[in-house]
Amino acid sequence: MKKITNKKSVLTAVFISLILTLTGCGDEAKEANKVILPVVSDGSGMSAFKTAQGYDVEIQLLKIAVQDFEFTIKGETHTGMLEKLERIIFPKAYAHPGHLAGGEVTGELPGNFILEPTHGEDVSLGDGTLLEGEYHGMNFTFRKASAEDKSDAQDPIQGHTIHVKGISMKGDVRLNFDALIDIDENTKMVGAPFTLNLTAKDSDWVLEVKVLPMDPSTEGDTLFDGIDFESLDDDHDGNIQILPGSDAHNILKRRFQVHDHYWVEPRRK
Amino acid sequence: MFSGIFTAYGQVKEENYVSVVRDEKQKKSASETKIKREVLQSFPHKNTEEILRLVPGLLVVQHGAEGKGHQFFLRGFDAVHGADIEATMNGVPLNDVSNVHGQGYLDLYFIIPETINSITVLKGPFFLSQSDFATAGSIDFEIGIPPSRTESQIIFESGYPLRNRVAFIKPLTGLKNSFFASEYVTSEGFGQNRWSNRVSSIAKINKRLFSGEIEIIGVIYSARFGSPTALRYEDYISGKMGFYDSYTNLTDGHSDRALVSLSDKLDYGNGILKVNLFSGYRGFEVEDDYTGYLYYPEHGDFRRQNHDALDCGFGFSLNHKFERLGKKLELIILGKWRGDWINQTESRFDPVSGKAWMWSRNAAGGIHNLGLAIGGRWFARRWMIVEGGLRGDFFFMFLENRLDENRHYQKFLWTPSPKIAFIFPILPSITLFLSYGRGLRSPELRSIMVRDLSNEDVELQQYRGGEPTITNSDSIETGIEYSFSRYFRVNVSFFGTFISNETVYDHVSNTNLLLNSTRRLGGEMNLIATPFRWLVIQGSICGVDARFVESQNRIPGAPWLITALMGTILYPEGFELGISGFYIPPRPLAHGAEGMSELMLNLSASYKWKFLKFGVQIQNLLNRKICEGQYHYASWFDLSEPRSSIPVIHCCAGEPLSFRGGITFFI
Repeated sequence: MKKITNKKSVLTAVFISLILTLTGCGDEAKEANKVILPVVSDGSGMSAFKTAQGYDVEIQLLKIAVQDFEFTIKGETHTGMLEKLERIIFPKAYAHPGHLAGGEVTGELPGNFILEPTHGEDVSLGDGTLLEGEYHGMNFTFRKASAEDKSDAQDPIQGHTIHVKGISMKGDVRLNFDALIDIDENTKMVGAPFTLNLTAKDSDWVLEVKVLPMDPSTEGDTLFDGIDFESLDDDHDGNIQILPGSDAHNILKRRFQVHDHYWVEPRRK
Repeated sequence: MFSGIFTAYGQVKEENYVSVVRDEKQKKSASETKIKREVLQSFPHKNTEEILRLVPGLLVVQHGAEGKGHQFFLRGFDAVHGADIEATMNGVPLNDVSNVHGQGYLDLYFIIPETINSITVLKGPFFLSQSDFATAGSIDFEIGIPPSRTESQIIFESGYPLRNRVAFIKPLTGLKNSFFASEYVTSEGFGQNRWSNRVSSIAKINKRLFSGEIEIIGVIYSARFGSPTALRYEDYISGKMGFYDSYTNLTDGHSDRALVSLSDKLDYGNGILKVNLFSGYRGFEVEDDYTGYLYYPEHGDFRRQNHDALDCGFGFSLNHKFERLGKKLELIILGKWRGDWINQTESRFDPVSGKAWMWSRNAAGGIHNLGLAIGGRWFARRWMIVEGGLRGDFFFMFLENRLDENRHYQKFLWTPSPKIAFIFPILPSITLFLSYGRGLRSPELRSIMVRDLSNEDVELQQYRGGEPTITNSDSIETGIEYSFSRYFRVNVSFFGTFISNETVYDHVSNTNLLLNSTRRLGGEMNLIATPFRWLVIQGSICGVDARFVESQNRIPGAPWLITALMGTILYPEGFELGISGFYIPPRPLAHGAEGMSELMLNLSASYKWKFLKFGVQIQNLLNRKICEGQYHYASWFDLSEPRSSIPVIHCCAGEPLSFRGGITFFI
């Protein structure tokens, strides 16, 4: 009799458990794992380089106003074997689908920032949020600097996107240049190289955003290709001003938008 | 989600109770499924798409309101709205070629469930008749009314959440398998912006003429429906939104169809010649906003897609048996031509004024598809049948882009598709199968005007996929069907599908992506028991490991396991009971996210007394919160929150506990 009672109890318990399980809300969905990583603007300075026109250029000051960093994963888009080999040897930026796919952008650092590679030391931009994944690229949007940026009110970049100063040399000719560049609001830089296989277990990384005066791929283009500095020094005083509206400005504007000149270097904390 | 049952069920009915037309044809592949009228009618459903849940390994998902086409997942394929599943009705193709909302878009709501005689599902592309979109498989709906049914039916149904249906089915006496049917359905829907209204009429006439049989089918259909947004799962968990809510009620859609077909079947003794002519119109418009204000914070990402298409086609098939060879060899020749003329637009619009503020597509064009196949069927031994051949599909596509100074584009593509199937009926109770075939999916018409790669730093909205190509799937399948006795039958199959370069359309983002190679490996088992003549029980399980070859990542959204159970009681005194359930464990989503599991239990019961039939259907008996559509992408609906581009889980709710009662008058 007792055995029967026990059997009944067990059956009742199983039945109740089954009903509770079946009528419950079900198991919850699980979001992808997120990793928080500090993002810094590399401030270690810029090495000198030679332009296609034969000028040796040394950048002494560079500030770029940007907003909203996006980090993109490789995804499952098709790449050929040759392209894969090339990317291993010469990591190269290229635009790839995914912006609208709403799935390839899996990391971000929203907000307004100034990239300042000539600052002297790294500048913290904030903490980026990234999902686990094999990262492949970085995007940001250009903007115009404003009073809200924590810079001197007299800073020439205010109202502009880029301020760049430096020296160009060719033979005996040495010219100082100072350029202010305007890039249309909401213009995006898409596909700067950023290679990192990120997992939640291995998240001891700092992401360093670099500005590269020279395209590191085989193309070897520089930020100042197309600029004939001598022809810009009308008054022969050795000082050049490049301002919005000029042909030189438009050349620089185009070059600074190209993803070849930006790079994200992950380094261990 | 159930299959092989149907032959077993046919036996029960045929031998003991009701006269059922039974298909005596040899099953051609391990997973071929034929669902007969009695089973599909007793299966709990409220529309034709839901009947497809009888097919093992097929998941049918609604991410809008009733009226918008379903999303299909079959054996590891995310077939989206029909891109990888070829659907036909009595041989007439139903997929919308290059529909603005998705390649191969399927809207099956126009098929009135009571008019379906049988559904044949071929999983895999193993047969010469399978053409464009049959990368994962094909489905043929055979509509008709059995000759034994001479009474007209008037059906009234009503249910909660409020849904009313009136249907009228009249068999045309004196004409075998002929009928006229019409239905009107209106529904408030089970959640916000899930209302729908539709009306459909189908007429079919079969008539013997000389030594052939002519069949004429006419269809007129129109639907209007709400278009709810997907729900951010975190908004539901936090209580910000209800599970059945939509972020907007300002989006809707419509779908219209007119179709006429004429076919003739001529049996000339040594073979059968079938010819088919069809023509149709499709009108479709849908408004949606799946991403909130993510891309256009000022206006919102509201999108309107409009598609109008005229199509017509011609097809023939010849099966000729060679008498001199003792009819052991059968020649198969197939041919078809289908032409589609399409006009489509896509715009971003203001939901209040209804006015478009940005046009992203305005194009007109056409596609001609010529398919030719030659092969044979060889009855080599009593224990071996071989069927196979070669199919060639040729596509000519042309397009005028009205957003680019009416620039013209054109493209010619073709692909061969070899197919072969071995059938080994080694014993009366055991049949073995081995099949190989190549399936194909044509590229979308708009793909012929895209560049092969986007330019440097071009906004990525410009990217629309790679060089247009035909996607080919190479599939193999092997399996066994074993009948232990008249009470028990088991069917087991193993399959593999490989795609080298897959072009897919992401309908949420409106982007074509050229993907890395994929492979799908899996197995399927169906058990059918008929312990009593009036009781049929079937269980099925289908598991598939679907991955990208290079990354080894799972294919997002595709369930790795689908289990299903079904029971049917068909008592001869007029009592019918159907119970069905399925369970799907959490699905893999993009970027390593994981969806919710799904458990659904449905019930239907009916009793026929004289000229009346009373019926009731209960859907989601356990009242589980079911995420039918599960996706992982970024959105921004709450403008008080900061914008984020990071993908999160989105959910499209399935139906909660709902009831429908009905009464049918037989006149």
